[in-house]
Amino acid sequence: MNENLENINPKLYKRLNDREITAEEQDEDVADEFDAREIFDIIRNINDPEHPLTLEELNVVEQSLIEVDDKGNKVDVKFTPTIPHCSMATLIGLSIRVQLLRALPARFKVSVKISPGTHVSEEAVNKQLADKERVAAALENSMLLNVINQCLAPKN
Amino acid sequence: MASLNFDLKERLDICFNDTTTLDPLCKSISSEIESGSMKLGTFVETLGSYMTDQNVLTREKGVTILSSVLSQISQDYLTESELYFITIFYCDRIKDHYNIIPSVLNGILALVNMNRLPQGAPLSLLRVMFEHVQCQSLPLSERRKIYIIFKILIENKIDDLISMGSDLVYGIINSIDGERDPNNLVLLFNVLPHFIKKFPLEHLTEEMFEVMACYFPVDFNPSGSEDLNVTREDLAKRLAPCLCVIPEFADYCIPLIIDKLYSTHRIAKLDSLNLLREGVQTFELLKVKSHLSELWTILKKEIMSEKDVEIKDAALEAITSLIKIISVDEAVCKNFINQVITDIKFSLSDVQLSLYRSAQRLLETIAVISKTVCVQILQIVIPLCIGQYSTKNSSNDKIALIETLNNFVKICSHHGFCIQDVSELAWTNILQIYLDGSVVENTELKSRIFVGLMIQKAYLNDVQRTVFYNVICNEIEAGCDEIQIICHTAIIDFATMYLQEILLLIKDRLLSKTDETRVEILKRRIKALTAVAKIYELGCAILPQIVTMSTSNIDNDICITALLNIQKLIASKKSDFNIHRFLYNECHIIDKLILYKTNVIDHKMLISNICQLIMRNLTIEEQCAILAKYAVALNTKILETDVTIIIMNLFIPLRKDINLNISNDMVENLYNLAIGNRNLDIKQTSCKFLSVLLNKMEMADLNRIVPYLEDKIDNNLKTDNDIELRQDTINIQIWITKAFVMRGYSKSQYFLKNLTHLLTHDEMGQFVSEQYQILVSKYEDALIEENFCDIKIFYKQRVFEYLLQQAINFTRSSRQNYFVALVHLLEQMPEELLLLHLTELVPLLIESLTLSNEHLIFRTLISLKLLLDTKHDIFLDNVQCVIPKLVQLSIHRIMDVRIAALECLAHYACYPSVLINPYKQVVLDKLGIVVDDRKRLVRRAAVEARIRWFIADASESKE
Repeated sequence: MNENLENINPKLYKRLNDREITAEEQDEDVADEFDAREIFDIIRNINDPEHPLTLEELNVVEQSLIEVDDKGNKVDVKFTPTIPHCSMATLIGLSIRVQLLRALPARFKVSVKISPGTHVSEEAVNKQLADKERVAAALENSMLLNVINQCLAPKN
Repeated sequence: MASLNFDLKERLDICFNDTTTLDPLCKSISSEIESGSMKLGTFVETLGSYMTDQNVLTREKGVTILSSVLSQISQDYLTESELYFITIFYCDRIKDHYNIIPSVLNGILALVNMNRLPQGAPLSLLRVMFEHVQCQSLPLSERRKIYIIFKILIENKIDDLISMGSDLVYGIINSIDGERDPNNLVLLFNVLPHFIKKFPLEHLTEEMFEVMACYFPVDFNPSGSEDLNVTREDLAKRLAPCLCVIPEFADYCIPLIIDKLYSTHRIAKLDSLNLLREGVQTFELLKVKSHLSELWTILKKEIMSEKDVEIKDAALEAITSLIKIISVDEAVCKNFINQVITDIKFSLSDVQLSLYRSAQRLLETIAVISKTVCVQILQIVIPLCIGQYSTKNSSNDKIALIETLNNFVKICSHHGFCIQDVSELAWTNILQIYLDGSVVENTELKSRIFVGLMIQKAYLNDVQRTVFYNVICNEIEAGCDEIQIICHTAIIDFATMYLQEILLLIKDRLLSKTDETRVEILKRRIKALTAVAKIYELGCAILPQIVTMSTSNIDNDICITALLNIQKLIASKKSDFNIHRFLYNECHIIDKLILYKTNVIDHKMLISNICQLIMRNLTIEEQCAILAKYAVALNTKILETDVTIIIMNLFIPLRKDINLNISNDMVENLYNLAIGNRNLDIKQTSCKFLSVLLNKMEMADLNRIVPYLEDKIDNNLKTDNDIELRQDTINIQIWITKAFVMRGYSKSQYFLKNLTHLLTHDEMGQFVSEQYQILVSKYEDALIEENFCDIKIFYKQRVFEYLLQQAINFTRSSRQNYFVALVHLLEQMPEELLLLHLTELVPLLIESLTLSNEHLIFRTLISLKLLLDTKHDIFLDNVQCVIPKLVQLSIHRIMDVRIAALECLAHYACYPSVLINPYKQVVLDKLGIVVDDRKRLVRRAAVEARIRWFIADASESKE
């Protein structure tokens, strides 16, 4: 597999520290809203399909590229492929989508897109990721589902 | 003689018909021959008729008997001429029918072991064997005999065999070619290196290599059903030396290694790397030279990869070994390293690249080899690092770069020079970069820089050192908390080399003008000073001052800081002198502390604790002296509370041999202190002190005091209205029970039973259940071995097992008390013990989940979570009640319960999918709601659990 990697020596980025637990979070009476960091924590540890690294370490997902509207039930995630012609972009996008599908309450409308101008076939990928039926169809494919589950497998 | 002869013939005839008598007969014949009562010649003559018989079976029996007798005769009995004839005889017999071969081999095996074997014998034996025995067509055990014959001859008679030349080599190759039995191979791999080293192979070198190389890499997976004591690793470990035993093998071995390194098979790669590592040491430069660039290309692939750490490490070892060998020729070595550097330079050019670490590690590994190599590498690495360090803005990148620099600086100092000693690198002025960096904002970066400076301490001049000392002192006085430890380490580290300078620094800077310094700064200095006081010379200067500060009345804050730090210093076990005795003898700390009056509660506890810690480390004589001075205070009726607490704490660590002369008055005093006193500390300390006394007390005293205490407790428990009094009584009862259980006192079971029975008490049961765990909890200031208490192993086990057995005795209202006591107890138990009792324990835990006590449910879930990791059958058996219960608890009123239940559910996702699949949809549906919980922490646990349940069967099918 080593020989076929598109980008064998990608740049690495430092991981964020774990979110600190605040007094409000421990208070039974306060309701906590969904925020960008919470969404980021859900997707930061997704494994890259090619490297033994997480999407956070490769800077594919960033907290600043996530928008959350708790009241309006909307979550927007943008991700940045490591190189503009990365063929894994769709797979990465799909992994993020599936992870959010599993981890977020059903009330949210989730959109996963490539951050503008970072990939050659940006529009095509975005279109694929936005198409509910194609996403559903992809998950029927057991091969593909296996690959995605591997990306989503927790570390330990 | 004739009769003897006849006798023998008769005996032989008998044994021909009955094979069971063969062995004893041969034994007796051999001993008769040795004792001289039978001549060898007679024996052979008698056998003659069998040997020439027409029937193959008879001939075989004859040879068997002869071989067997030979193997029983002692090795130096037969003379050279006798052996000569026997050898000729056996050479002849080999040509006989193939059925006879096994017995012949037995005989030869016996022969080659003989001490006076004639010189030509091995040669003639081997010649006929090679000619007439097809080794590989024989059964396993016979092949083994042949190999053992080889082994014996190679080890003992190699000089006799030289004249046989390549015939011998050819014969051996022919015999072992195609051997498949692992045990035989182990035998061969052990023998062959000796043979190959001593015997010229000439034109058969390649054949010899090939006959062994066909096993490389060893692919051997015993099914387990056959009882083999050979593993793949055994074979691989023995094969490798065979393949690289002589330099001539290099021509075949290196291509083999290269070939196998291209394989995708993990074992092949590892074995090849190990072979390369060992091989180059015999092959040496000449043979390796022409393959260098090819080897590097493959090694690079493994080293510059993050995939498999084990292979990477093996590759690094191999390349180290390779460079060590080629470094005899400086030019070759330089070229090779240049090639390495050229190939990986790109990865080093940006610290953010994912292969930066791999490249750095490779160069570090190589740089360790020798000073020359190190200098060559430094010339490339240091400019790259410094260049990036000055241009990069992110602290994380700078940290990584400084780490690289530190590593290389360290390697340099191992080689005994510093980077600036290299003339090409003098311009870098690396020490100045470090010193300039020592005032950066980022703490993590700063601490790395401090570490770097410590490594280079020998190369700093006095001006530079003064600058650094100044930086450290500033950090101690105003820096953040994270940097403090590294500052202390730096002072200690520099003190090993510049003791006088550091002493001066401490006296003139950190200990000077303590009266005028601001409290905040003084507190920080105290912390630093006590941390470095574990060095003897520094401690002598520092500790007396700190003790004075701790008992002065200037400022409470200062006192507390000084006390806290003294406590920290004497609680840590690492120091290079006995600080406790120094504080007692030179600083008179105990007297000072006892005399010291204070009203702050924290203060009193601290002082008590320090006294106890110091007392523990004093000798019997010193303890006696203290006892004589202060024991009076305990016997007087009117007790001054402050001092009493300190004195009780002071006496807790008394050694067992010291007689305290415990009087009834004293026990009564203590009992009264523990009960009905307003002051909680004094109650607690009295309980602990009393239990320590009871734990160490001699039996005679115990028999006197126990009935008295029992009486008191009984009376107090009977009083109806005073709840607090009864609680105090129960508390003291628990502590007494603890003391007895720990020392294994004969009445401890009785006490334990009484206490456990109190769980059913209407009013007090709940209190008992919450305090029950005191029995097994560890209290650092009371019943521990450091305080010379009597502690039996397994005392926890005894309490736990007792309580576990009592489950059936608790019903209705008392059942809840029982569970509370049990669950509290669990948290103190070693995990191994819990695992032993899982089958009884888990049903109880499941039951306690159904009770209404919310706190109990929470604690139970925490215990369950820990135990679920075991994947024990009991959890599988109870899955149908546990999972629904956990799902139900995941929407409990209290968030901690929800979180704990979700974490337990997440653990269940790792169980076999056959069992959990029926629940998968229900769990996923329910968790789909919980991921919208109002609390973020609950959502986090729910997300974790839900994701695990989604991929529950996926991860299993992959395995």
